[in-house]
Amino acid sequence: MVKKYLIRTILFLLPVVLILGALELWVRNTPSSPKTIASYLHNESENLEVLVLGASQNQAAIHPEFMSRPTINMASGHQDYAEDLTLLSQLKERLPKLNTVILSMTFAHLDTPPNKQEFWKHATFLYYYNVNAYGRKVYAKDKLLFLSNPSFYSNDIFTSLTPMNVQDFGDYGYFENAINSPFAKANFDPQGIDDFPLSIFNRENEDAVVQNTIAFKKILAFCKEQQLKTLIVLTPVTKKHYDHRNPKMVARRDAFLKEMMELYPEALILDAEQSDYALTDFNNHNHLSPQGAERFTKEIDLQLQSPN
Amino acid sequence: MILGASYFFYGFWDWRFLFLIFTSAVVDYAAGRWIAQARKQQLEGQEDKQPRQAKYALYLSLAWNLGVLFVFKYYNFFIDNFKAVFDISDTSFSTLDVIIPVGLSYYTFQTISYTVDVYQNKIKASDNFLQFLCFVSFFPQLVAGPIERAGRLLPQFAKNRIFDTHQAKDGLRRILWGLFKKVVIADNLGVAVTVIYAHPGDFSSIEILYATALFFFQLYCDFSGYTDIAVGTAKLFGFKLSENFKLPYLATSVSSFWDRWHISLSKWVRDYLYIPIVKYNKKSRALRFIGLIITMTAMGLWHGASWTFVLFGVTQGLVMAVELIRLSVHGKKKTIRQLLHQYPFFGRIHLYIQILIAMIFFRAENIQVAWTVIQGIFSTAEWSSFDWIIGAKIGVLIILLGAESLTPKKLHPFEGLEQRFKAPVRWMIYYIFIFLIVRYGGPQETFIYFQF
Repeated sequence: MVKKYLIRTILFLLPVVLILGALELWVRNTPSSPKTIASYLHNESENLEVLVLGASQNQAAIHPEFMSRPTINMASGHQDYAEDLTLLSQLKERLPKLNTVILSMTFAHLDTPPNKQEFWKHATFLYYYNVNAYGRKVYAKDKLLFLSNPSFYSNDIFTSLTPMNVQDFGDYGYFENAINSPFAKANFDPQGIDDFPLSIFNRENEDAVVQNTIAFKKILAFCKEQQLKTLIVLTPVTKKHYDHRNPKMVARRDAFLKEMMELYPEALILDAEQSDYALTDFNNHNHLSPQGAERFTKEIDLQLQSPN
Repeated sequence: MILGASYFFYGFWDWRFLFLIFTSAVVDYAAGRWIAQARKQQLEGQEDKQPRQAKYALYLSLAWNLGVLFVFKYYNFFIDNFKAVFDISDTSFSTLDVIIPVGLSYYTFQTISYTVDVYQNKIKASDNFLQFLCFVSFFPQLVAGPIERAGRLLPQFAKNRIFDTHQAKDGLRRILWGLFKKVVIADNLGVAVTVIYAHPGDFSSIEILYATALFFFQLYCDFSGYTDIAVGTAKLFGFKLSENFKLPYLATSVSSFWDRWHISLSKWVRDYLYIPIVKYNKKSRALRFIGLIITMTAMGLWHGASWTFVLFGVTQGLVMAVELIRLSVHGKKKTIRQLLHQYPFFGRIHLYIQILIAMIFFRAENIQVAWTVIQGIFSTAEWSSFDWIIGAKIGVLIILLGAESLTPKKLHPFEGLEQRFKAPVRWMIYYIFIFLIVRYGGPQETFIYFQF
């Protein structure tokens, strides 16, 4: 009786396991930004000199192709400072020529709640970059990509199945194809874009500020200790976004940056929040398009080349 | 094997607390044996009345269990409030830097009930230490209940269990339903609740009420989902655990709500707190009112050392006391509870209002947040921050309410499915639910009731 029950249970579960296994393989073999970045990291680790960290703003704003020195952009959506520090500290040994780190600091960065220990992207870091961001011993399940975020990866699979949505990550994992961005869909029409709902994070969060400032200070301390040049970038935003920022959060961010500059005078800041970027340079109000990224990356490159 | 699995399960979280749970089991086993020994001497005529030794054993058990509970769960709360009331400087008394062992409130209540039941001669003291250790630490219900009575669970360890395919299948179905409730419903609703409760001041009254109502269903699905998983897992091993929920949202009064919500805790406080308070004068209404307030306040405090839980308990007790008031309707005297039951439409409106109030205290991190939420409910703030993607999270409730309303007399909607559908259809249903769990599971959240 037990044997029959076990056989039936195994038979029932077999398709589930097979389908999940197939989906996992599919996800791993689907072109993606982290997959391309991992391959680039693997091939170029001996030569990389610049490491870009941060959240989606930096991911969209900095295209390694336009940097004069070998650069890897490991910024990604919702990446917090603690994760930046983890990536930096665990990758440092593998990047012998690393001499520069680029960090991001939007007006809302400090008030954004840091991710939880079990944040799904930690599986991505572990599987692709061999970086343990869980802050604990890792288990086999931690490397399963599909199960780390079935919703995200299901959409990814469907996107990859649609010929209209062919994604191009180039050689550096930078998302080159922005035809589906909100601004592109609005044909960069100023009126249409102005009517576009503004998604802006204006909510103050004292607890998050405490945690984020601690992590940020640790990054700067690490960079100083390792003699890494640090550039903090304030990426361009549209005028509408700029005008709608919570002034308290902006003031707090600016005060914090001032304090950091006093503590770490060797660190650099590139403030491009208020700039003359055209609407075609944006994917949305606070993320640059590939066109805008080309211009901004060249600005960064110039800043890094300057003796000061 | 069960003991090994239970200790491994518990030790995997934090092995240090294995010593605590083991010591609790030793103390209560010893207390039970001591009481049994005292009774034996009484029967042999060595003692005349209620043996004094039995009382000592009971006091020892109560002192240990309540002491452990106090030290780990309430000491810091007590010290903080003591300092605040008497304006004592921070350095005079220090709080303890301890974490609350998972499941402490559950197994402590379980062991207290064992000793009290042995003392009251309701059950025999266990004479098998291994079985008693299993009873205290049985892994499916160790961390979040149901709070089992020794009279029901202990004998199950003693009897030989034979593998029952039907029970095992039902256990798996129940686990599937529990997982669905937890992962798909509770965790998805939790997203909306967390967003709104993180900054209640930014949301309009409708949005706050919406989040509060969702929180009730989040809590229900989270906790009853865990219970389903616990009961289902126990069934796989041939054990039968108590039911903890009976469609609580269909109750018609707060009193009847507690007959359907966290039943094992409600019965515990009724048997070991409320009845001992009122038994000396069952006709005294004042005593019943006081008993209710004390019982429900203790029930609130059981959930955590915080003034929000105290207020949660007090408000529930007050409403239940009011429901005991007798009114004369068409010449007949009826309690408000009976009237609400007679007119279920009004009963449910009354209940839902009370649930909303209770959930505010239950969810708010502190009194200040609770007050902000209450103010927000009566504010005229416009709909501003509401994200319809978050608003749409309520959609997952349709499956829950649909499934449970179609099977109101069953312990779970998958129960007895084999009598209604053939195997291929059943398997399709299971696969659909597995798909929903994998594809639409919300962000991973720990079970809310683990913290208690």
